[in-house]
Amino acid sequence: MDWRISLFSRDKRTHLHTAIVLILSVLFLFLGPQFAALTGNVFTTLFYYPFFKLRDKVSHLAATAEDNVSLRTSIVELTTKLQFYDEAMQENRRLKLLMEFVPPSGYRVLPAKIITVSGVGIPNTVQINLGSDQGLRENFTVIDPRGVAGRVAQVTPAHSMVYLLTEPRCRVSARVKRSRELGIIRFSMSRGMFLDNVPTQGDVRVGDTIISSGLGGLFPEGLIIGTVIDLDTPERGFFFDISLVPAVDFNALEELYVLVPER
Amino acid sequence: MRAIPYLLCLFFIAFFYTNLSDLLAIGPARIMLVAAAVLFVALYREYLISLWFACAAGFVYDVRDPSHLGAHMLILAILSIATSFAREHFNLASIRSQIILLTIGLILYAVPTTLIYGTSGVTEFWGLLWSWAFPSIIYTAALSAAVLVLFSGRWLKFPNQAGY
Repeated sequence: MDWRISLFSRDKRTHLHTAIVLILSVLFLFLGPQFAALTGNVFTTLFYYPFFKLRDKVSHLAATAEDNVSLRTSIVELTTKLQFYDEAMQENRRLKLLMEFVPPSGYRVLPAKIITVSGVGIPNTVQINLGSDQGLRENFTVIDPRGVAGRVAQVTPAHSMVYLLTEPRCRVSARVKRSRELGIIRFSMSRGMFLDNVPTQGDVRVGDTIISSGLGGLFPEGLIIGTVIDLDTPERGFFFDISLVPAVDFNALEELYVLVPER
Repeated sequence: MRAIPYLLCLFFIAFFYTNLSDLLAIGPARIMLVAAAVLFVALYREYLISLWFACAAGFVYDVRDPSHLGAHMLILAILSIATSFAREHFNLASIRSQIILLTIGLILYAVPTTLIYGTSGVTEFWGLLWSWAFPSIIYTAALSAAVLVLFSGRWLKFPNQAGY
């Protein structure tokens, strides 16, 4: 047969190699398990171990990447929670302040949420979520846990507009808590909050607390308005120039409370 | 220096069975890289080179499972001899005939390999042949055909009715 001739007509070298390969294979096949295990160990270390190591590293990296994603998610969740708790803590602090606040007798406190704030430079008007449906009327006093914030100016069934003390149209009859000197609280963009109409003979000092006097009937008596920070006696004129720092931070208003007269 | 590409190929076989085999498996079908590599070398290289490469590739494959050490060496060496023989005696210049030879080679590799692993009985042998060998033969043959079609004439230059 032609192919047999071809197969066996190769040179001796080729036959020798073929024989060596086949014998080697059979030899490996029939060698004892100990030799096979030893050979396996040696050559696995040579051929496979670096790749096993590589695979381990890659899977470790993949696991780390998964961990990273999950940790990032956790960080976002926890940060959000933390912000929420931080906000709750601040609210708690404000509410504690409010709890310490005792409304004047004959009034109850109605909490209101601020809807909008308006004003140039400093807020002077806010809109709150209470209206005539909740029993609000014009000129009701609006407070913040720290002191007087303003008064209700306009009322609709569901909302009300509040003039803050920073609104020039909102004036309060006030007195010095210590000496009971009377005056009027005003606000101007140039001077800020000041106590007007206190005669130069009056007893006023820097650091005095100014409270509402209750005169005029709009604001109940005894609510804190601010503290005297500067006092000038003009050369000409009958009244002190008294600058105040308001008790309420009008730039950081969060919740307001309306004092509703009890019937 | 001539041995370096073959050595790299052996390392690639080791890398493939360590890292890529499971990754590239489609269901039960796995790429029979060691058989395909031996068949390609037998088709395109000299007899002695392909013979020793088959022996070495079989050895590298076997050391993963030392209980069958020598089995793949023998199967792949015989496969390499048979392929070289076929190359000498049949006209394999066309890609189609090369693909047919590769497929037959894969079948010839898969059947004894299944015999090695499916040792507990005829049922297990047929089960393994049906569930693993056939899908793997089809998968590997399809990939080999794609390699042949893409690279034939460029990287894979079929020798003239080659001598060895």
